[in-house]
Amino acid sequence: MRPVAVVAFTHSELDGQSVWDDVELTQKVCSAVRKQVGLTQNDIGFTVSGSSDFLSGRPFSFVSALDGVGAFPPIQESHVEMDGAFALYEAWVRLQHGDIDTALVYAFGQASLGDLNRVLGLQMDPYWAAPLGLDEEAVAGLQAAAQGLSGAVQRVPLSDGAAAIILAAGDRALELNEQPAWIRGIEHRMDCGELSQRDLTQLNSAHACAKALDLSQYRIEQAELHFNFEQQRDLLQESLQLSGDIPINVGASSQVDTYMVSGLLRIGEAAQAVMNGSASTTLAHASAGPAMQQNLLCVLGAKP
Amino acid sequence: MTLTAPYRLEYPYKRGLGPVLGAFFGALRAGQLLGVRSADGSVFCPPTEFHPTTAEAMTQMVPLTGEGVVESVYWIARPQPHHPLDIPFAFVRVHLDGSDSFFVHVLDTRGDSSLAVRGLRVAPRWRAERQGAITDIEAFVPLDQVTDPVAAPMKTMERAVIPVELDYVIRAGATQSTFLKQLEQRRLVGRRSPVNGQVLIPPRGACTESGEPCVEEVDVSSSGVVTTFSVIRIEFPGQRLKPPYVCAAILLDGADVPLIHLVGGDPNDVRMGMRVRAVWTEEPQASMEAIQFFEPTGEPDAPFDHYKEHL
Repeated sequence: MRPVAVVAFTHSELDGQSVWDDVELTQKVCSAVRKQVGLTQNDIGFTVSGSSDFLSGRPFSFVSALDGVGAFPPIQESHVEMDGAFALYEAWVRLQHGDIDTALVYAFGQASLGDLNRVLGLQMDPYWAAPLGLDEEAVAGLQAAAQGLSGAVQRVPLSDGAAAIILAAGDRALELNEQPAWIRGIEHRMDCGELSQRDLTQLNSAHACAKALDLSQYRIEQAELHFNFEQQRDLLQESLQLSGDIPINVGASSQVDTYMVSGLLRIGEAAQAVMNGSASTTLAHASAGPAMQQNLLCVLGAKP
Repeated sequence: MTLTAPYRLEYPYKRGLGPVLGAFFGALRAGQLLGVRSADGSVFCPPTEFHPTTAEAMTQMVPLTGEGVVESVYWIARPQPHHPLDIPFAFVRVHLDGSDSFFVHVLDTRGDSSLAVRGLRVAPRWRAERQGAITDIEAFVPLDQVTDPVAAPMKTMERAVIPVELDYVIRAGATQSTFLKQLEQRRLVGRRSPVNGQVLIPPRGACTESGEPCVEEVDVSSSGVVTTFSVIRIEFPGQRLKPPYVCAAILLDGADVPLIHLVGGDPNDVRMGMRVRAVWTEEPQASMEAIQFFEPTGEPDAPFDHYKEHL
């Protein structure tokens, strides 16, 4: 595999409801992250974003958000209707092709425009789950009940916001940052989409990612994990077989859930710890889908 | 301050069902639960067309009694408008007798949370009027509250109407809020790109070419030239003019990108290059609707060279 590293990371204010629109948010993080490493949009080989039209209720909102990137002369660009962490995976794959050396990854999300609890009910099966009014909280609640917990589930506080990361490959990474955060391994997997057929006490896809990475080979010093409900922290730690003494969610942006951006923020925070020398190996995690159906793990290190 | 407005999305989806789901929903309408059996003898309800781990196609439908035992419970103490019951209830996963999966549905214990526990035996309470939907089962209830459904003939369904609606409060952001407030003063104010000097209207949060913020405001004329247009002949909800009418790209004098708006009058008179001016509504408003439509000025048409770079 071609060595690829995070060389720059930034995010917007993450203090609840935003006053900006999607273009303004995107513009701020994309220009700031390029400035960190002295690049213009013309220097970027591939640009990819993660967002969901259902948050703003506008079709093709990711296309209009491109105004904030600078897309002329025409750029190589892609989008995933997923958290920005999954967009970063696409950028990592694209850099493996070997013909380009840099990629810009960004994500934006403003959950406060609608009722996220209700919006996320619509990612469920449309025939027999969504018409019941089954929402995000209820699905998380059924998962907690399957774990043997009772009582109302506690959601991690939501914020609007955006984040951006620049990836660079090989020597280019070292030209742009003296201490890049090298991606030592990145994997994503998903569980069955049908809630009636899942064992909700297990995060099989998170476990499968850990196995594919051979996670136990790394001395993880800090883990940035993405869960939307407090009780999912234990479930996740168990599935990843993470030692209890590893500090979790040290990053400032990890204290909130910036829906569609959180996974990219976790990767950014884990990378930041490596780039500023406070850790030599870190783990980032992203999740998506009902009851953490989809999971992504990324190990970052000071050496390729 | 950013401007906000209520906004509702509605999709009247008509979903095709296919043989497996068509049988399942047809049976619901008849007051019966069906599962699907795989080659290894496992039964899934709700039925899926393919086995979750082997991907084997499954088509053999089997009747279930509808009775089962509650596997997990999440109590909803304060029901919201999108919830199926307006008294406290639980979402549950029910292990139906004779099945190997979990049926996700609603449990009604008449507001008593102490009854809503794992291990409770339950069965469906069917609606009297059924349409072939998951909500034909109003809720699962404890066995002592079960009544037999009103019988109906069993017939496979081809389609199900499953509407979706979502409510938003959208925000215009800083740049577009300023633009909309200026419209309220009957001013059309664009923004100049710091990179290529072009005047964008409506202004965006950033120059659409370079991505740089556009700060400099430029007043633009409320008259301009039709560059391209389309005649709208079909009716749809929310129309402000009666078809046939024209939707046009209008290059306002002083702007570099056309604005999309309506042109009033006879569509047969509209042509590329025609000069038009804004007709404002009587009541000022912070909205694109502050302009009712554009009307011909009667001036000579602009030559093609005037707008060929702005199409």
